[in-house]
Amino acid sequence: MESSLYKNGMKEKAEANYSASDRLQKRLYRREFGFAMGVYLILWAALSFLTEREGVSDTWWMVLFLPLIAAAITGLRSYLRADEYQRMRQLQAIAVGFVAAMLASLFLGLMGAAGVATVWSGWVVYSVGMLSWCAAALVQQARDA
Amino acid sequence: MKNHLKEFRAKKGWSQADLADELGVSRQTVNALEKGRYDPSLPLAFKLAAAFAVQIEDLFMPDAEEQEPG
Repeated sequence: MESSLYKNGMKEKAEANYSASDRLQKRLYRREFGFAMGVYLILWAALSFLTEREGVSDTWWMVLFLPLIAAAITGLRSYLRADEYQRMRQLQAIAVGFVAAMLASLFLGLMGAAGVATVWSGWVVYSVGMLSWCAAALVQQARDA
Repeated sequence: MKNHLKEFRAKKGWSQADLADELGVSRQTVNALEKGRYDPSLPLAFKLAAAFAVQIEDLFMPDAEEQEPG
């Protein structure tokens, strides 16, 4: 009981840290992004099953692009809903991710030119860019707390 | 740019989240404004002035170096 009250108090305190605009944005983002990821997981499971059992063509895996495009649109809608300061912060974090991805692709390109075999280059560039973007966003969040 | 946002907010007895609700922005935005890490756009500055029923120049003032003639 006491623990529950403590948790409720913590929740109220955390909620007080958010404005109505924050709460609305978070709710909409979670709903839209959750839907896109849910569709992605269902399609992924279905394709895994069908590829194994029915031997469907690998080309069908391209259909996974659809929920990913939906996720990207979710990000864009979240950006458009944000206020001017949040937009600036988001653009700064995206810029960090972009520069990191460019440097990673340049590095891999030079490795290739030097004759060093690289594997999964696309995923490496994607991962470096995404991780740098997330790290920049976390640093900003910590500063604004 | 310096500002008196924190003092005006305290006079009203508002939390940062209350002021953010009043302006329709996030609490982090209010925090950044109060700490002087972010200078608002003119529309947001006017919203702030309206929220406290004061003039913009009562809320914001340029730093000393910003006042020096170019």
